[in-house]
Amino acid sequence: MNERKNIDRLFQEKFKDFEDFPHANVWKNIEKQISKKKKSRIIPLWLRLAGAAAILLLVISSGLWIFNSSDKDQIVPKEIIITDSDNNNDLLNENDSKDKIVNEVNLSTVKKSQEQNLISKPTKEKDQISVVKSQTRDRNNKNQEIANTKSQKVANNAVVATNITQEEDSKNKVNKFSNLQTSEEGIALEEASDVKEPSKNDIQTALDKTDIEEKNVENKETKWSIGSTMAPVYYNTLSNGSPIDGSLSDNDKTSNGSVSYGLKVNYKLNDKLSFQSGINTLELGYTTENVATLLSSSLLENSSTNIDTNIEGVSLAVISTERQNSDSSIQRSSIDDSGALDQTLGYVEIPMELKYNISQKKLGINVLGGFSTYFLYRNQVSFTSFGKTTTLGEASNINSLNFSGNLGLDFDYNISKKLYINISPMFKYQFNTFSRSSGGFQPYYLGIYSGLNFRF
Amino acid sequence: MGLKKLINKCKQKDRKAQSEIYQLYAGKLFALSLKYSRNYQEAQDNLQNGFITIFNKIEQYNFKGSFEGWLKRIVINTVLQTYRENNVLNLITEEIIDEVEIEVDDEQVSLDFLLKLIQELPNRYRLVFNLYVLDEYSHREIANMLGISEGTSKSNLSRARVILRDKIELSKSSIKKNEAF
Repeated sequence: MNERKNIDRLFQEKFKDFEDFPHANVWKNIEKQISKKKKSRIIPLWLRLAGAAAILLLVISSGLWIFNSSDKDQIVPKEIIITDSDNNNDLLNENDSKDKIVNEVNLSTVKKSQEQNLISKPTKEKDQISVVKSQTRDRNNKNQEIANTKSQKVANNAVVATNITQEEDSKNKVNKFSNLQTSEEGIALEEASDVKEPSKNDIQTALDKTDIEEKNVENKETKWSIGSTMAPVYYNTLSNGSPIDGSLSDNDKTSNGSVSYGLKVNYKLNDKLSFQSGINTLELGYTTENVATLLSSSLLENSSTNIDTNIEGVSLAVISTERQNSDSSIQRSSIDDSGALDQTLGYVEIPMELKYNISQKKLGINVLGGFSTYFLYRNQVSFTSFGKTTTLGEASNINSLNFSGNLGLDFDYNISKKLYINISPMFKYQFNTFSRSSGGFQPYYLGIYSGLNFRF
Repeated sequence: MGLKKLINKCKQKDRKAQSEIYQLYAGKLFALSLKYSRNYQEAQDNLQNGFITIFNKIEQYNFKGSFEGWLKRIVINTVLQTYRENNVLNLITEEIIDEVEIEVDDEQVSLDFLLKLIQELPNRYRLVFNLYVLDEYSHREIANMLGISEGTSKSNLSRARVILRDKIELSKSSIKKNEAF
């Protein structure tokens, strides 16, 4: 009638074409999860930024509010003194308003503490999670302990049980039962220690391997980045000196705030090192104070002024107003003590820099070093006296090509995987700016470069 | 659309292609997940997690070997992973017994009933029985996957068979009893 069949074959045959469709929700959940992964890379960053900004705003505004309300507090008593002489009712009113203000202050402090709660909440949740985790861990341990003690107890029971059987046959069944349990549990204990650490199987290791490869690919993808730079530039000299005329060495000089802007290209050589170049326009300007000009004077013969005028047939010299005042031979009836000489140099700068990474987290910190090549495109000297500015011409001692050594720090803040903000304060020391008689002028400039960069 | 084209579109995270792959394989993979899990809900969870892994790792499928096999390995691996995380595998151990051939009467037993029996097996018996009998892994592979010895794997299999046989026989005798009334 019924043929005996290998149990394996029975199951194999039954399950051969087994298919079953899960609930439609399963796909919905999968869809949600795989689309979440894509977005989660960007959103939390913005959320965090927005959150940080919001918290900052709250702290500042609440701080201001408290500050303001305490100010009011100080003003009110003065008013009381004034109204005191008029009548008592007013005084009472003022007292009321004082109370109100006190209330306001209280309110603001309450608000503040609420904000603090808000801020501390996330960390609390984290703590709770970790507590729960450790609890479950404890529970696992306890389970094992319980399992151990259980089997011991059962073993004891078994001993008791065997004792009982010697006296009473009627409890045979119970005895057998407990014996069975003890043997199973005992073996469980024995084998539990035999169990090896679960080793990762082939798929898992393969997946891990490809994970690493994936990361490498990602690195390759983002080796290049390009961005804009903008920097306020402060130009000055390391020593006293004047490239325009040696005699102006001791005159005060101030930097004319100017702006450098351009493009930056960055190529990642390895994890630590990247190469950076680009193109910037740069205008360096400074003002030499207390200067007077001399036109076609007899003094010009031994002057060392490095200005080529654009007015034909005229030669020109600059001297400090101090000298002009003291030297009787060149004294004039009217001089402007605040006469000032402006020198402006416009360059196209091509920097070549190496960037070495110190720390790469959310905020990357780098040290930057290199040199720049400058091509002169603007060279102008102008003179301001009696409220009028005259272009005198151009400096005759400026090289059309010069260099600088660059050193600085560089901070990268990642907005997203592709986008980062870069801020880098730089010190650039110029060589070879002047073809002759630099007048002891050792020019450098400081710039704080910032910009938005895009990785690709 | 050819399967290869579909897979390539999945690699580009094309939602429509992902949906199609799901429609194509959800039936088979859910059946697989049902066999390896303790109940329907757990099977759905495992299937869901399996598919998420599949879509996240699909660029690693290099068209060597069958795609279905690759999918199945991921689902099985997902199940094993949850057991490893919960550390339940190590708690069920037993005396090593010899491998035995077990035969049962080939009567009409329903698939649902057999599935229920498999799901009711202790975790490791269920995994070993599934891997060896239904998915044709060797004892060596199973030992590797579960972090046990080959002997333990064989012994687990035999115990699983005994339990399954006993339950099948028991159900038959109860059916006969019912018929008698």
